Amino acid sequence: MAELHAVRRPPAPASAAGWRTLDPHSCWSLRVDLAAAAAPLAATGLPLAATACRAATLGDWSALWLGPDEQLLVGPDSAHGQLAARTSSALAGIAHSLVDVSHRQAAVELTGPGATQLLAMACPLDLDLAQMPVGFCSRTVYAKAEIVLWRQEAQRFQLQCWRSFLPYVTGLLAIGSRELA
Amino acid sequence: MIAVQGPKARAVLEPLVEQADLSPAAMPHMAMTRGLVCGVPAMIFRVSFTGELGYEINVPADFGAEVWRAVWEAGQAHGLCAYGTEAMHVLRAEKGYIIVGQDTDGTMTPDDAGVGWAVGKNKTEFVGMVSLRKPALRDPNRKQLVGLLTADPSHVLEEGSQITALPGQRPPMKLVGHVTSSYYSAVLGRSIALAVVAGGRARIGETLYVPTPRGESAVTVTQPVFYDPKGERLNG
Repeated sequence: MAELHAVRRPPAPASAAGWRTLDPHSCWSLRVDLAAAAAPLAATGLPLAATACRAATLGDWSALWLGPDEQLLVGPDSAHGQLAARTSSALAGIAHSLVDVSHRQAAVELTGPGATQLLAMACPLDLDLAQMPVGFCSRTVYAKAEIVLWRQEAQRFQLQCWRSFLPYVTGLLAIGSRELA
Repeated sequence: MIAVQGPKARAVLEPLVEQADLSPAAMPHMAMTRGLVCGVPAMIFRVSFTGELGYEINVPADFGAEVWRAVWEAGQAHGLCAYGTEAMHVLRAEKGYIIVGQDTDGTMTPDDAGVGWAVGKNKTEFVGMVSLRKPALRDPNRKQLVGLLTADPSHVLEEGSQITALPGQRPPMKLVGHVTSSYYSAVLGRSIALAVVAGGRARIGETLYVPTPRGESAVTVTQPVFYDPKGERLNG
């Protein structure tokens, strides 16, 4: 049955002016002692974010600091297959857990001058660049949905939420887009 | 999660599966394995909430719709149909498979639900062991899970109906239990019900009475398994 291979179909694609859902990506929750893991991961070409609420990028992969022992690894779907083996060999002998959450995390990209306004509608964080510089990331909420917010440029954000929350989040973003239009 | 249930479940699934052996010898009832379904990583469980041979397939969510469609297409040659939760509820009730929270409540012990066999007899300690030993929880007159068959096979009792031991009572009646699940069973050609009845297992064969909006309904107390009591259909 080798000819039949299902392809990933992300939940509920949607877009409007200033935002769009992103194609599926590879996403992993890594729990590990960051001090112990940083050097071995760097040696294998994988990033680790050492600073609280900041993301680090190396090659295809970004690591988002979500907690003192918790990182969210984000990379392209095409690199998905290698990540577990690379990480496991790098962290051999170091207690860690690596959980594939690729199909749990949906992502929306917000760009342009309206991005902060759309976010400010339903996110309690201070979005001012002085408080939230480029590279910032945090687990927070968008209205009642838990999200991970990542500022990739001054006017470009990635918002990740659980797949079942995506229609709720994009529905609110659509309302915001209409109000700002 | 996709459930494929019925005597042809293996024949439907096998062509879609790689790197896993679904044969009865390799994968008996209640076994699980990992493999590929439609080329994507899957966990396959041989489990059944219908009483039939069946498998449940777990795949990552973004693959779910496409795998479902592939199973659907593979099943057309075998007469596959899609079933919803109501059909599933009828199938499981025919087998006396309880829904925790519907056929049980927080007061029920494993023995009340007819699954006392699952409690370890040789263990010296486990959480809840002290509670299960209390005299009130070992009282043979506790409400126990049983089946009910109405004298009128077309009468489907209302779930939640009360049960009396004596006919013709006026309120306040002495109640001995209540109906927890009730359906019309197509395969049996009649109504079936699950109920909890005080000392119910000792009453099997007795007639009890259920006050209903259309009058009192006589019911016979039975074992809670109405269909395939030996469980042979699990083998396909």
